[in-house]
Amino acid sequence: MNRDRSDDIVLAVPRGRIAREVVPLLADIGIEPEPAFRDPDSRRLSFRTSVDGLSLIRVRSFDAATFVAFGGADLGVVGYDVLLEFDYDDLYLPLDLGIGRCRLAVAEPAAVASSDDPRRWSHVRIATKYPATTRRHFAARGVQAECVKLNGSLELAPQLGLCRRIVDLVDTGSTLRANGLVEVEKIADISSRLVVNRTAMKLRPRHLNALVDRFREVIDGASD
Amino acid sequence: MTSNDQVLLPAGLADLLPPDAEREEAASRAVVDVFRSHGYESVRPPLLEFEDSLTAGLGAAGAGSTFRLMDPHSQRMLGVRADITPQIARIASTRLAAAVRPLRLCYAGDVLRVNASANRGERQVRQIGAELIGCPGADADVEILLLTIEALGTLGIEYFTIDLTCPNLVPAVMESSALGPELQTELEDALRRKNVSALRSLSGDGPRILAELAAAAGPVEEAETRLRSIDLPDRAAAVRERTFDVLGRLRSFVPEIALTLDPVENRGFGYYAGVGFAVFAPGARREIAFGGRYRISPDETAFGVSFFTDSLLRVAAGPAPARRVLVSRTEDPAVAAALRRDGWIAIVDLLGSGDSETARRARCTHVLRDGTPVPLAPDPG
Repeated sequence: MNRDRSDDIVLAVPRGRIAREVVPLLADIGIEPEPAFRDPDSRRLSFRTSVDGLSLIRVRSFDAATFVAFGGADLGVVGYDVLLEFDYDDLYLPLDLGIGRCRLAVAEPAAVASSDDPRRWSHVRIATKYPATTRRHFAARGVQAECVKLNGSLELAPQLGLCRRIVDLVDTGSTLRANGLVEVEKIADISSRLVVNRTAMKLRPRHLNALVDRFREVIDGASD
Repeated sequence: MTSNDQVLLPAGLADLLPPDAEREEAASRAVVDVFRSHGYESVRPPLLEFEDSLTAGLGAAGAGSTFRLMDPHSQRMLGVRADITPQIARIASTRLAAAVRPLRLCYAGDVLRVNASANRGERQVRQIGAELIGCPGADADVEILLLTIEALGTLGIEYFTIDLTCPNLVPAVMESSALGPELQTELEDALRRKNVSALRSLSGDGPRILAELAAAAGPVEEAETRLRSIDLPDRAAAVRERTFDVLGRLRSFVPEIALTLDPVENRGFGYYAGVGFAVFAPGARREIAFGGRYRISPDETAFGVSFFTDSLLRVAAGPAPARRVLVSRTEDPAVAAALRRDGWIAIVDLLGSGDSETARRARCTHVLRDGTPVPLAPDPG
């Protein structure tokens, strides 16, 4: 991080699900990304905005927290699921943006669930993108969780015998149902947060506080 | 000893080579020289101590990051220091308990941390610090802050921000609002993350004040006004007054220094109990120095500062390039000795060729000809 303080402020925005909700939010705040940002075929990763001195980077949702924690970006929009998993010490989380709402939950095949008593578990094997969060959650209940790290298509794991249970984000639950799974336990409510790099906040407090305040005004206005 | 496994070092440990080792040494020496010029005297505590004395008192905050090993001699557990400040506190409250106050001590030495966090990779770093013991007034706080600013200047660090903190403000507010332990943990977590949304979602006077405190952080001009307007319980208000007192004096002495104020910051302030501070600079991912007031015994406090070379060296200017002269091995050693007294690095030409090419390969800037250092012509290649 050898960026000069006169550099642009860099905002990390995740691709995919959250991005679709972030763009209208940015528009409400008065931040219009340059047209290439909306072009799905563009290979660019860094974009100017209508706000002088503010640029955007587009990264995978799991990487947004990392870019901000290491100072590559000054602030970012990051799912709470990612923040739970990495628990970076150098991030401030000043604002719940209230977008990308879902929950992190344990699911298992309906047939297993009908005869299962979660209170009797002592060891479970779980397929998940969130091994640290999963282990922590079960450890707090006195259950040892052995995690199989997968990056997607988790719902296949029980069908194909990798394990009986998964921990994944659940929104409407339709993907679970389509694969014969039921939700048996909620780990945490998830939404996207505005995160700020701690050192950047100390070095450029005026700029960053002003940006956070603008996000806050729009969020507070929307919830009224 | 050439296979790759044999040169691999454990995670977080590294060989410091030229010129980096020289830079670390020079930075460490420069900072200690500033401390010494203000009357701080060097102490050198040991690398290892018995685990129970190392992690007692102030050391409790660092217990989780301490390397431990068994002493075959005493059959007791030993710990490698993860922080030198608690060792200074131990010395000041025991062996130097009878020394005249105020007691000014300084040190430079390596510390070892078990847990290299993702963002602070090095496990062995050099800590350089000064502690002003037995002087409870705001003048002592200001002395250390000014000393820190002087040391930063010596290191050629031109742009930096000092973040003033009040590590015992939040505990004072919590105590007066009688919160349950569970709520207290939840609040501490939210404060650490500046999670104003979570703080505002909780009801009660305590959480409301804490949310206001968290939102007050920022550049000192605005933060001071916001912090002043918050209605605080008495003990917390006293903490705030002391912070303003230090702030006022600091601003009158060094109005050009960028200051921020963060009433709820507690990272790295595990044992601090008065005004605290951290120094940030562009280019370093984390603070390059921090310090504050802490209690060393039931009736004595100290105010100190620690620099850590891992982040410091990312921003400190290197030492001025040395003048290096190649001296023929047949030259009278007294000639080279005289040059060294004048600040030259005089290197004897063991290869004996004495030409400019040899001098260049030895990274010399000059060659000695007829008793006079002659600058090397620019490298034709």
